[in-house]
Amino acid sequence: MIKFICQKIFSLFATLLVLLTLTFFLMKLIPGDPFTDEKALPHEVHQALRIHYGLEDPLNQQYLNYLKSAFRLDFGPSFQGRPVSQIIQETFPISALLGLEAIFLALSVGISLGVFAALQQHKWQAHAILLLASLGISIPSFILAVLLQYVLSIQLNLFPLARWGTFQQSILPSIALAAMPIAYITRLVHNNLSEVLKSDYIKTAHSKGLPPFKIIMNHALKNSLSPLLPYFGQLAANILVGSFVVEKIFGIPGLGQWFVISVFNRDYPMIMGTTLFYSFVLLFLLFIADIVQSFLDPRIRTSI
Amino acid sequence: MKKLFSLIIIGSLLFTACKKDSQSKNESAVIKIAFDHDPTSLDPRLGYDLLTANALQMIYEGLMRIDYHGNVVPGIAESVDISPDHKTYTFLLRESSWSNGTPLTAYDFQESWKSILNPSFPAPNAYQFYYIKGAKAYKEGKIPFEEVGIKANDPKHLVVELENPTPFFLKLVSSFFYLPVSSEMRQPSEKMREEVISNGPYKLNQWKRNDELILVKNPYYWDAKVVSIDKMALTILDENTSFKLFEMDHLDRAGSPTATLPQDAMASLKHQHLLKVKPAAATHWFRFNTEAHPMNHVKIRKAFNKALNRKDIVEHVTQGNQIPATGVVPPTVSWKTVHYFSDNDVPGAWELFQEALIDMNIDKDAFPPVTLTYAATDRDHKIAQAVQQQWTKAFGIKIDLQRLEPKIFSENVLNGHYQIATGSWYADFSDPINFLEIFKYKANASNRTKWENSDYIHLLNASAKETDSLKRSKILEQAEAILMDQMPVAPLFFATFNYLENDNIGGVGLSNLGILDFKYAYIEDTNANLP
Repeated sequence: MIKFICQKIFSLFATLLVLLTLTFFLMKLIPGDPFTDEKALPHEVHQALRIHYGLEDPLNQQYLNYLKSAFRLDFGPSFQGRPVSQIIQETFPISALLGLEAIFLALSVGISLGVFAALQQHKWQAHAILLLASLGISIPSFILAVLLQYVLSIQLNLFPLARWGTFQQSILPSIALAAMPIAYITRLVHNNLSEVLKSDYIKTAHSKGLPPFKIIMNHALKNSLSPLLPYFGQLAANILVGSFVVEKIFGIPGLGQWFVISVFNRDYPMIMGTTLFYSFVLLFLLFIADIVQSFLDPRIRTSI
Repeated sequence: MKKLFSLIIIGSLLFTACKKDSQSKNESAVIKIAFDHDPTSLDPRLGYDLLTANALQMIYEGLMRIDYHGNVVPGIAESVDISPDHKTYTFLLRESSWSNGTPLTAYDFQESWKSILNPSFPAPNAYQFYYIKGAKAYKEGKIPFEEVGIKANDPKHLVVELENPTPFFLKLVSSFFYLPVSSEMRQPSEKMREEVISNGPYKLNQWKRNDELILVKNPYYWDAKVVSIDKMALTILDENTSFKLFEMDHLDRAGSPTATLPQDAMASLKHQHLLKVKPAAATHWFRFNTEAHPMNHVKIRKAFNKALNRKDIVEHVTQGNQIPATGVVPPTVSWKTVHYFSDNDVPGAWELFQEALIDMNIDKDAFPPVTLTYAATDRDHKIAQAVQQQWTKAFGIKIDLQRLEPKIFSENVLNGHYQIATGSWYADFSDPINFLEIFKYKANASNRTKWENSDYIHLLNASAKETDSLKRSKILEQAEAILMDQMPVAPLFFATFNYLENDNIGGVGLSNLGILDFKYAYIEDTNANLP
């Protein structure tokens, strides 16, 4: 087991290093720099700024410098002057809190709907839920976000339109974030549970006269939820670090916006910082999902 | 299921109850404004976009300021004395202090400007000081600061010597480039200071990054008695969200110059008479790459210029009461409006095009396809499509559109990788020279057309030495005529600032440079508007 975990940790850091290197050089390939603008600075001023911020150093030297400071967990100041780690520290909790709400919503609603649809097999309720789920997967979150704003805020005046700070303000964005995962989880749970319900041991349980509720909770659900685990790792990483679109539409000062803003602004330290942070969260959660799964299913451990 | 429904209903009632509660505490005078993004910095030496300039002008005040009517009036300076040769300006400072209570002196201005010009300081705007004697040489490390024409004789007097008589110097001094920086913020430090000490009508109270800047009235401002707004909230919002919040009465101001309005909403806003419009000292144009075939041919450039239907674009695409441009210098800046050509002159364009083909000795079918490059914004995309149609219709040739991410666009145009490109200029100070100087040298980073003309350079140099304003205007007019005769740029329209502003609010100044002034802002009887 320890060997398995060590292997996983090693591959996590190796992947991070590869990502760091790729991101660094790809980012430098994009034309433009933080000071390129429609209103151009005089050439010598532009050049002086580039020299001041070390952008004129040879690329391999810039890379080594970055690597050295990244090992010390120093991600440098962003071009706005504030340390990258400080920006992440301030904005990540906001995105994470919103993300947790959305994950809670996705899991509770998704699993309930999935179970319900599986139990109502071939009835109209099940068809309606599955149809909604298909819609949920295909509607992009920005359309849903605007729709939610229009109906629940502007027309019905039930929730605040935008901004961040109160629980009410977090409801619309978390619904917008959760919609697609809800749809996905519903379908996943429905498919798995329907399969499991057809299996022999469930039939046996029925014929033994166990109450249906107990059969679902104790026997069927446990086995039909395990495929959720690998999906959950990815979902959690995506949702926790924030979504550009949802944060932009609802005016939420989370981390998600920085992924896009930093690229538009060519804010190199910020691009690196956000990419590394996201990669770390994603890889870490996948790692946890792997470990948990290996406990549930020992075959995974021995196969590596 | 029934339980769940009742829960939702009770819940929603609770939320609406909370909301009403927060609306009723409206005792202090607060103005809420939409901002498109965070200011780049609240250190005046580091900012360089219009939004940042606005945030800076709210919390700082320079020696001169622009008043409600757009005139340059004394600010921290009580008066200014100009020498007969127009080269020495002596500013007498009034009694004033920083927002932490320490007195503001002429030395603060001297040291602020010195630090911008310091060769090792990364100041994007240092070149705006090059009108001052020795400033450029000091920035390049060639002379000591003692030889630069900036000198505080005592705490009250600041003397500035200029290289040339510069008739727009006081306008320049009223811009954010020349704002003072407190000694605390001047301390060289790697980290940007979180605390901002300023000297304007308002001061920074809180800056929640990427979310909101809260400004409050600055009690130490020298003219604090006229400031009637207690608090300003500058909220960072997406254009669609800010538009909706304005409609729901949660915002007092949306749109330019600190943000944008959704292009799709313009027509209906105009129809409902909600859209407010102020002319800007700004021109949108098409740059021609004058070194690349076929745009190196002046008749082709002029033909493309003549075939533009500017009125159509202004009325049906941009829809913000912009003025079709038949010159480079906007009317709000100019001595008079000169029409160098007429708009939508398709027959004239066709004639020039034919002449050019004969000169080039080619057939129309052999004319190469022309690419129009533009930055991927909603508005530019619509403009490009309209112009593509106009040119195709006028000449029967193929026009390709190339849409690029904004920074890649700027980089490509700067390096001359284009044939025709969209572009614009928003003035730094309200004088024709600010527009004409762009095209003075090929090497100017903002020129990008590769065009240079010795007569043009000669005229601009002459204008810098001319102290008589009427004669100077004549010289600049001649220069503009050369520019329009050679046509390295085809003017499209003179821009406007389009915004929504709550009718309760008055006294907000907006200069043609796009600088808002909230010093004299007030809110009319707010109780009358409560339900």
